[in-house]
Amino acid sequence: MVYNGDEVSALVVDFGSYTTRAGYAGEDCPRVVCPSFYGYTEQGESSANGHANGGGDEEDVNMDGGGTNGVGGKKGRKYYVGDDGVGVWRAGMEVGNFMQDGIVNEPEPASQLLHHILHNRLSVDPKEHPLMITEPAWNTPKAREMIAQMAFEGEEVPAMYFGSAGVLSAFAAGKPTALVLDVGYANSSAIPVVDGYALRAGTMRQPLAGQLLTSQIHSNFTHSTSSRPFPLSLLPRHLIAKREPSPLDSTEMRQPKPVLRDDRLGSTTASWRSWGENSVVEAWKEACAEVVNVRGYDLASATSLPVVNYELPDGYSKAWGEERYRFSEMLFDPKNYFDQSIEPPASLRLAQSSDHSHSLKDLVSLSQLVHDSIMSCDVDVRAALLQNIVVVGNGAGIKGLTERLDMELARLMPSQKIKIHSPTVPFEKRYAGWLGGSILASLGSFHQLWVTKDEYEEHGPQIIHQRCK
Amino acid sequence: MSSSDVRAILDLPHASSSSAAAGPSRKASQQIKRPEGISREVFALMGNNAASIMPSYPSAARYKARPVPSSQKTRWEWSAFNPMPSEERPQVLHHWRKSVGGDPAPPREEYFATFNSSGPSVMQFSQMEYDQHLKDSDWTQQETSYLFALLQEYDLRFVVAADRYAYTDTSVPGATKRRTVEEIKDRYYTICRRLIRTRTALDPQAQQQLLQAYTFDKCNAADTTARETKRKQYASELFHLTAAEIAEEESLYLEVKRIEQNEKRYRADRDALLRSVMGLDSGVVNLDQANSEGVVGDIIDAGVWTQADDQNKKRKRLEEETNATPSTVSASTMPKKARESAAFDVAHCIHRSAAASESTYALGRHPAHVPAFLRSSKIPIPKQNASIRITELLSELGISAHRLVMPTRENIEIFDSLLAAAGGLIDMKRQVDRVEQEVRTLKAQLPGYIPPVAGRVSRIIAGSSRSGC
Repeated sequence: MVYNGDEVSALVVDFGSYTTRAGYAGEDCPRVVCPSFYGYTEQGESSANGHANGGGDEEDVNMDGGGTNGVGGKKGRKYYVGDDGVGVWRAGMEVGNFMQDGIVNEPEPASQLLHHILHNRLSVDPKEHPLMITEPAWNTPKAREMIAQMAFEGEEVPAMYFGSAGVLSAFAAGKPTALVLDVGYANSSAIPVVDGYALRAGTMRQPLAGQLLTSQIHSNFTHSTSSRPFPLSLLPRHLIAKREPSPLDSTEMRQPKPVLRDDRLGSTTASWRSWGENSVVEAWKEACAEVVNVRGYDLASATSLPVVNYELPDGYSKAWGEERYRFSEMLFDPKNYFDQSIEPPASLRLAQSSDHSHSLKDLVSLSQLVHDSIMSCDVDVRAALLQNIVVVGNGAGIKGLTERLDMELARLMPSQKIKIHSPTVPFEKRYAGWLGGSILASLGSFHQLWVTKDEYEEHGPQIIHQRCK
Repeated sequence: MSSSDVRAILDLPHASSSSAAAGPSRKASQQIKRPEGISREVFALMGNNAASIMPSYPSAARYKARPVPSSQKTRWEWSAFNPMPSEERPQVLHHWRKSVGGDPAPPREEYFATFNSSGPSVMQFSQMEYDQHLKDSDWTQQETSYLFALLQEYDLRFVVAADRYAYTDTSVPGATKRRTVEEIKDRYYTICRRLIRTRTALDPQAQQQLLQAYTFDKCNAADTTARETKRKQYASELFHLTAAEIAEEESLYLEVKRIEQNEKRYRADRDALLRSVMGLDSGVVNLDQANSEGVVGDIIDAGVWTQADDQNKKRKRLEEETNATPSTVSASTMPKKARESAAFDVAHCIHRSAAASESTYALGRHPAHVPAFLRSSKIPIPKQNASIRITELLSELGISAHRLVMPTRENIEIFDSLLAAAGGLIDMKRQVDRVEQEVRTLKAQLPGYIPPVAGRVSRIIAGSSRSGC
């Protein structure tokens, strides 16, 4: 066949805690990556202040039905989604995240984002394209039904399917049987996948991931320390009018004095400010953070590790040394490096302790998480899982994490042969779930599994639970 | 050269049917048809062999055909299809199809149906079969049906089925029941075995093979010897060996291998030695480890046999008597096992070889291996120094010293004692002769007294004292 006749031009949307990915099935990279954060203003004041302060273009924002589906007091709320949503400063705009514990929690902004992606970013007619949505292994039936309703009734897609993110990540690595360690934003999870099925018994998750790491770093940066007598402002670029160039060769520590945008400062909400500061920390983390991969972290040896020059948006510049290693050590030693006294983000505090999840009180290291996950599986599949550990997620991009994990696991189970696979291309690591969905939805052998619109109308949401197992 | 050849040379027409009528069938079968393009003379030179290479003519070379452009137009069209042709549903998925000649592409929905492969088939049973054979106290029929549906759904992947197992018993509302992989396998395989046994089979051998294939040995609470649970328990224990334990295990394994190798070498050496010394008599033909231990003792035993002195024999005989009469005092003091074996020996007329119970140093350490032998081959022979005279003595009595007509145990014993008595007699006679000679000499010396030499007197005294004994 000249042309791949299996192609049905499906779309794949992968809702994540930090970003949402979307694109065409069969491609190797998502076309759209936009934040899962959304901004909102109450309808009355936005028309006055939003335009007066020149908050940015609002063409892409869907205004229809903004308040019609809202619950209770949310009447008249206006959402700003996508790249131009939260990333653009608007007066009085609050910031929220529709994801909670990796699950789509708020239908309204989620549907707005889906609409924005399909119509404004991909510019497709959703009636023509079946839709593949990824979900975490611990997704609730309620969330599933909500998304199905969003897709079938809101966007009128002809067919859809829910792919388990763990399974899809394993597919992206080309493995039907694997243990997928996903170090994401809200959660890090270990999911055993056997023959393309995620085992519920072995699924483990805990809120020890990017968001917690960011909050720890944020707290450290905004307090003065022994080596730095002043706190860092962590101001995002949106609030800075002008800053002095910092000389590269200066070794003395000085507090930056940027010229701030006083017109914006007054009407900036606390949630947007916090989001902006966290984005600064995220950027720093992505550029600088590393995991000590041979032995554990200690201050004496960390000072001799390589340093990196990095400048924060407010002009604070430094050759960063041991900070690069100190915080990320938390991933492998939460007992000693997770500071309980620092207030963790509110959404993470909701995490409950159970057989399959840890709360903030009893965090374990990533290696222990993998170990526990494998040990709760059947003996006969353990060896196969150990030899197919797939590390994905944004956290997997932290340099040295894979090597450290390998070492820690070898220490936990010295008698076992352990093999860790992590994609080398950064976006394959970050968007492994999306990539697996893209592969699956473009396979000719998959098309019988689509849940079509008329099936959904005939059987109701039950058909989804039955088909997507 | 045949007549047809002559005709061909002379340019005569072919022979009439009358001359060829004698044997047309014979000719046709024997003569190989001359291929076109080979002259008659060349063909005749080839004899019976057919030409293996056909002549080729360069003029016959053909060129690649020029492609003929089709008059029909080809275009791609966006066509709808139904991924599941078996179900009556509207066509919901679209893809690009190539259509030739302006006609719309014929629906090819069976194309995707070819991917609809199913896994291994799950055995089915009827209600009657269940009532007759498949009842189990631990499983209700509803649960069994649930299990079979689950196995069908997951294509007999027991690990996945066990993970998804959540049976809600109607009698106990709200509670979901879980089963282990072993329980599920046990139930399924038990049902399979019963069904195979009860259903009439066309091929009993195939039926047996199937039964073998469905063997599953599970452990229930009472039976701790069952294999499957034990195996998993052992396997899971292996996951948590410490590094020290692994090192120890490895060194032990090496040690065992080394010992085994040494053992093998020693045994080979010993067997070679034994065979070269004793030949077939050694009983070492293809010796395995079990009975090789006593071979050294056997050599000594064989040596002892010929040189056995009276003392030893007496003791042996005594032992045999006690063995033959187990009801004597010694029987009660003997350990139970020995007593039993003695009774067994009496009952079956077994006489233990004296050598076997002999406790010489070598025998005590090595349980004796006594090869089977004919008693006649072990007839005692007279002592070396007196053998000629004993033989003479025996021949005087009319007894052959080398051939015992009935070499029974008693006869050999009698013969043995006879030899001993003869030996004693000859010894005695020799002494008597010598003393008489001495006396005679002394008497002859008495008239003309010559004082004897000192050494001589002592010898006489020694001789007389010996005779006195």
